[in-house]
Amino acid sequence: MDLESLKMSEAWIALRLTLLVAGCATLINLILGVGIAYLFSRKKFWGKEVLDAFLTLPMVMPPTVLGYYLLVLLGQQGVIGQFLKSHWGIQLIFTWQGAVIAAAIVSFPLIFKAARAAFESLEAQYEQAAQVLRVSDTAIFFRITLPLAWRGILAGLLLAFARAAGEFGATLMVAGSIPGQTQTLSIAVYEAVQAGQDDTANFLVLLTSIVCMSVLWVSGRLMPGRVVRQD
Amino acid sequence: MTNYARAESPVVLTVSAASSLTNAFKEIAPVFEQQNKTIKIQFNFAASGQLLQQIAKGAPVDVLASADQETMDMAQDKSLIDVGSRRNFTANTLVLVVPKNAKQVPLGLSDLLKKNYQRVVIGLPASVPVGRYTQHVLEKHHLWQMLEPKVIGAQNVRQALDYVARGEVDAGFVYATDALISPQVQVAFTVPTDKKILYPIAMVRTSAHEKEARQFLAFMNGTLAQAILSKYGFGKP
Amino acid sequence: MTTLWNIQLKKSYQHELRSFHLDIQLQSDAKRLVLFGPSGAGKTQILKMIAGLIQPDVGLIQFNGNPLLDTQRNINQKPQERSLAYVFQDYALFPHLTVRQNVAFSTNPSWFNKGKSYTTPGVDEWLDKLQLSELADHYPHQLSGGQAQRVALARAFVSKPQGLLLDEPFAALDQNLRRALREELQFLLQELSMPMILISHDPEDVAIFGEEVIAIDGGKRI
Repeated sequence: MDLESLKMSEAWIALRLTLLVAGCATLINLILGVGIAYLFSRKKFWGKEVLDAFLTLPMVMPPTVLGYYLLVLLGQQGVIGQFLKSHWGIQLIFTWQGAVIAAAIVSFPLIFKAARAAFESLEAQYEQAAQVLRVSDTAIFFRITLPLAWRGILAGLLLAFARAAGEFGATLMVAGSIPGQTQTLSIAVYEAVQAGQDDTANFLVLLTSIVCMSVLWVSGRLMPGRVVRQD
Repeated sequence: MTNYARAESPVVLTVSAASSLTNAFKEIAPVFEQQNKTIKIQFNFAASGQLLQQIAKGAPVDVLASADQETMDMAQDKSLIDVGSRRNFTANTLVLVVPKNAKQVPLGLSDLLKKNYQRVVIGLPASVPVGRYTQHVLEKHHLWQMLEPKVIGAQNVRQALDYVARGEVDAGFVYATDALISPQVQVAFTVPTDKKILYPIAMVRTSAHEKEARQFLAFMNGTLAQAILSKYGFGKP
Repeated sequence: MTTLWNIQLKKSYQHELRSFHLDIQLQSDAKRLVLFGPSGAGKTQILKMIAGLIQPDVGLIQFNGNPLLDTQRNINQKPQERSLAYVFQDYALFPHLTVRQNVAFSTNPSWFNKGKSYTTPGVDEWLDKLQLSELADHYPHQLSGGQAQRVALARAFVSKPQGLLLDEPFAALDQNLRRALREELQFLLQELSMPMILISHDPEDVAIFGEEVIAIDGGKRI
């Protein structure tokens, strides 16, 4: 196999890895983002808006800045990095798990904000009616709140997935670029261009574009234009 | 006696240089500008491979200084440089570095096979000269295949250096000049290469400032520039 | 001897430049109690506090001698525990569930909604009583005002409450429907012999349901 076709098979590895990293990151964010957004929408507490701004920060911060913070915190000399190493022998830098963390952090605000808005726009009376009908608060969340808010959450979810899949700057700093481990599609494109491997770059770009368009297509199917209205 | 009649704005010379030249070149620029008041230097530092791609895709660069002959050869093949202006202007050596506080310092290349060296950073051979030099050496010693699982690829030599400095890797291959600027790393040993590591510099053929570019090239081979390069650990070409 | 309702509530609201002070004391033995007053008087606030959906600053709510809320003694039963059914002004039917699923809602305590065919004898009985059997698989947006109101009532009754709270139940309906539904409600209440508090600004409601009438305005009894 010549060098270029070897690189092409690495492209499939990069695709698989990108989907894995983006998928895990989005799943983590789904649970954390929806959970925290629900708390924000239903509870009053001191400093809520300050905390909201802090949680939204990764969305506006340059990814390389974020990557640097993560590198400093999670690396060998970082507070969290040292703790993980000494207690569990875990090293996050240069691993796909590190890439998941970087991707999750940059895309968290997208789910959080969307979920918070969805929960807040839900009229209180539905949950109140359910309460009077003797159903527990947890059951209400799954049976009333979530089904009525899921469209808004889904919109955020898809954006978050796309963002996680495209993540480059922070991932590069934290996870490096190791084929099969942390070399995601966007990093692979960057390196192919750097190395003058235009054919590979073109192929990777095509692959990435197909992934993005598929995400958009899926979102179009899951969220039909018509919404059930109550008259 | 200042001449107010014709105040011309200085010519901006864009110089694309390999990452390893960053510190030395930054010190050379003001000295050059002092002697050539009508010229301002604008630097673009990256891995040589990346610099080549930028020029190939039409970036308006005047001078290219790469860390290996291969990149310049490729530039020459693509007719990107003025062949007559190509010169080797400095030399470097390959070293293996480890973090300053490393408990173990390898004595030879085969030491890297040991279990306590889990991660070794090497510049990506496809685009980073230091990575190519490293790969050649390791292949010659039949160590490349065995070390591959431990290898972390870096986008340029300075990133490789940074990883060693932070202790994220157990060892790394960088230039002697890079090791000198970082107090967080120590040199384990110098890695002999088949051919001397020589840095070529040339004028980009499509440069809009030929005269000034040649002035810069001439300066690079002069005593002042060479002295500064020497200060940073570079060798004579 | 315990009264049926013993309600003492105080709450201050601050909204931009206006403040609103609710201060209510009421004791009643009436099985049909009407809170009458203009909109903005605070009637809905009171009803929601009785149900446990809103909290007063200071309050005591006793129903049949049973303390639902006593801020002094830190007693505060959750809405789920108060055994009082609540019918909202615009019914608050769950839009993503069918009529049957809405009515059966309280019979299923689990974390997931049951399918469209799930039912209980109680559910079937109430769907029948309120002529909703044919609409069982319809969704709320497909119902007329009067039908939606009956679903809200059926849903409330299925939860086997000990008391009924109604917030302007007929406000969204036209005159004829109102009369018809008033009669229906009257009949049901007689059959069940269940205490009820009803909010209205319509004098006809007062005339028919008002065993005892309490007038409210500006957050206070008048």
